[in-house]
Amino acid sequence: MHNSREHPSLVRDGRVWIASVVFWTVFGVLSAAQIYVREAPAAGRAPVHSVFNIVYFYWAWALITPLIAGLAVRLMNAWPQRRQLMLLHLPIPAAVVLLQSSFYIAFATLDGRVSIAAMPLGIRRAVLGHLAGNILTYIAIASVFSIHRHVQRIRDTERERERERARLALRTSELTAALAEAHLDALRAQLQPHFLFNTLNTVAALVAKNDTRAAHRALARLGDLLRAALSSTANQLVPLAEELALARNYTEIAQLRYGDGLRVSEHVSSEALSALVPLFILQPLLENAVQHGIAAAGGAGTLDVSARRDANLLVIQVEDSGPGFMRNPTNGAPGIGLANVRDRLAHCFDRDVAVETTNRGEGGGVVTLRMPWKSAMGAWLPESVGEANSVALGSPAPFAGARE
Amino acid sequence: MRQIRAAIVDDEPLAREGLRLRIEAAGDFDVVAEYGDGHAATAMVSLHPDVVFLDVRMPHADGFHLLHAVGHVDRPAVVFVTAFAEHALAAFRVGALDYLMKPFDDETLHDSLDRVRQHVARVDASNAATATDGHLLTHNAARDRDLARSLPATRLAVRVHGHLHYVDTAAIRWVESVGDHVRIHVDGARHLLRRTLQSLEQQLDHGRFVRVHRTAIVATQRIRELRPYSRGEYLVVLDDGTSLPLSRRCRTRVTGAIEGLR
Repeated sequence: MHNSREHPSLVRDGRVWIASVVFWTVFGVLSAAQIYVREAPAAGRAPVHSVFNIVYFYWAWALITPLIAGLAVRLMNAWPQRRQLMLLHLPIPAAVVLLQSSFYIAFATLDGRVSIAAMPLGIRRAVLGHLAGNILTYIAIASVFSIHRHVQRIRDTERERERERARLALRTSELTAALAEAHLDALRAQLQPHFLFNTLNTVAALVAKNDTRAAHRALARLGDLLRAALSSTANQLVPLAEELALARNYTEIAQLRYGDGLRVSEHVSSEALSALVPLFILQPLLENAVQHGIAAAGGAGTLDVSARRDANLLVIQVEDSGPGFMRNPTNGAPGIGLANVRDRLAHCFDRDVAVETTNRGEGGGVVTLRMPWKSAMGAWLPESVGEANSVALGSPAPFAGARE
Repeated sequence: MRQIRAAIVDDEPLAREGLRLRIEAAGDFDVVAEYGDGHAATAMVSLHPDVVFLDVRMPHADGFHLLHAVGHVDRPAVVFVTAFAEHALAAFRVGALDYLMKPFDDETLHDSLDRVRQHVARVDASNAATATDGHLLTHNAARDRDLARSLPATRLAVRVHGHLHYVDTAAIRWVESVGDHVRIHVDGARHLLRRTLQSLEQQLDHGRFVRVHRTAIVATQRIRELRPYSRGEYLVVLDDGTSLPLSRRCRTRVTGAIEGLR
C-alpha cells in the first residue's frame, strides 16, 4: 500500500530532543536518588559527584535517543519492502555504546568534579562496565520507536483507505448524477416539457368534464410515452413499427386535445416497418404538424405519416392539412425542432440524411426525412439485398412481408 | 357582489372547456367568450370582460401579441394560463394579475379567482369614485407618489477594514437581514451594516427597491426571472443567479414594481 502521509524526521524535531532530555534527566535523578539512599548511610558522607556521575551517564543517553529514534523509524519505513535493513539493528548497538560512553566521559570531564580518567579502570569501566545494560537500553529505545512507527503506519493506511473510500463514494455519486442528467437530457429532447404539461392539463380538463374514460386513456398513452422516453438511450435505433406505435400514443393525445376534427392516417409499406429509425424521430415532426398545421386551422385537419424504401434510403413523410410552411424571408431554414431532427439523424447515420420541408399544392405542409436504409434484420443481411432474399431465408420477423 | 365576466383564450378546445367548467363552478364567474387564437380574441373588447384567462403560446398570435393589440384602455384583467414557467416575468411586466401553470389544482385556481374578485371590486370602486370626484383621487395619488420619492438615499456609508466608504445605491443588487445587521450585496462585494432592514428600506428609493421577503429587499432592475415553482409560489431570480423566495405577502408589491419596469 502506497503511503502518502509524510511524517517529519524525528531527529529534526526539537520536541523529541526536549522530551528525551527531560525523560533521561528525571530517570537519572531517580536512579541517583536510589543509589544515594542505598549507599549514603554506609559511606557516611554525601557523594555529590556520584549523583552527577549518574545524571551524566543518562544525559549521554538523552543525546543519543533521538538519533536511535530517527534510525529506528527509518528502518521501520523500509520494512517490509527492504526488511534486510532490519539487520542493521545488530551492528548499531556497538556504535551506540561507544557514542554513549564518549558523551558520558565528555560530560564527566567537562564537570571536573567527576574524573573518570582518574578512577581505577575509569575508561574501560565507562565503556564496558554498562555494556549489557546499554545494549538492553538500545533495544528498548529502538523497540519503542519502531512499534510507535508501525502503529502510526497502520493508522495512516487506515485513514488513507477511508479517504479513498470517500473519494470513490463521491465519484460514484457524481457518475450517477451525470447518468441521470444524460437520461433527463434524452427525455427532454424527446418529450417536450410543454407537451407533458399540456397533456396533464388535458387530463385535468377531462376530469373537470367527468370524462373518466378519456382521462384514463390520456394517462395510459402518456404513461407509454414516458416509459419509452425514460428507458431510451441516446441515438437508440428501433424498427419503424415500434416508432409508429409510439407516435400513435402521441396522435391519440393530440386528438383528445384538439377534438374529433383531427384525423390521422398512416401509409407505411410493410417492408419499411422493419427499417431502423432513431427512437422518437417522428415525435417532433408530429408536434410541429399539430402545432403549426392543425392548431392553426382551429384544431381540424388531417395528419398523415408515410414511409417507404427508395433504393438504399428510407423515406418518411409527415403531411398536415394546415397552412403549410411559411418561407421566412430572412431565414429559409425550418424551425429548431426540425434542426434537432436533422442533428439526430446525422448522429445516428453520419451520411445520406436529409430533412426537407415542402408545401402541398392543395395546401398543407410536408416534412420529408431521408436516411440510409438499415433493416432490423440487417444483422445478417447485406444492406443492398432486397425483400425476396429475406423471404427466401424464411425470416420469422413479423415485418418481413412482401414488397408493396 | 355582481357576476364577473370572464373570457378564455386557448388553442386547445378541451383545455378551454375544462377551464370554463372549473371557473363557472365558483358561482360568481360567467364565461362570456372563448377564443382559439390571439387574432380572433381581439374581438373580446366589445364584450367588455372583467378578466381574460390567457394562454401564452398559440398559433398566429400569442398571448402577449393579443394584449399588445388590445391596448391598455379597454383591457380586462389578465390571468395567464400556460405550461411554460419562463414567461412569468414578462407576464407581470405587462401587468398580469396572476400566472397559472398548467396543470393547476383547485386551491391555486381559487387563489387566482380571489385576486380577480379583489381586482374587479377595486376597479368598480375606483370607477364609482372617478364618477363622483375624479379630480381629488388623482391629486391624492400624485401626492402619495411624491411623498414616497421624497428623500431616497443615493449612497450609503459602510465601513470596510475600518475605513469609511460610500456605496452607490445604484450598485446594490439586494439586501438581506442578518440578525440585527443587514448585509448589502453590491457587484463583487458584500457589506455588513449594523441597522435594521426596516430602517434601510425607508431610506431606499421605493421606485427602485422592493421587499420580496421578510428578510430581503432587491433592486427591481436586477430581477431577471420570476420563477413559479409550486402552488402559485415564486422564486425571484436576480441577474447574478441569486434566487430568493417571494413571500405571498410581498407578491402584489413585487409584481406591481415589475409592471413598472421597461
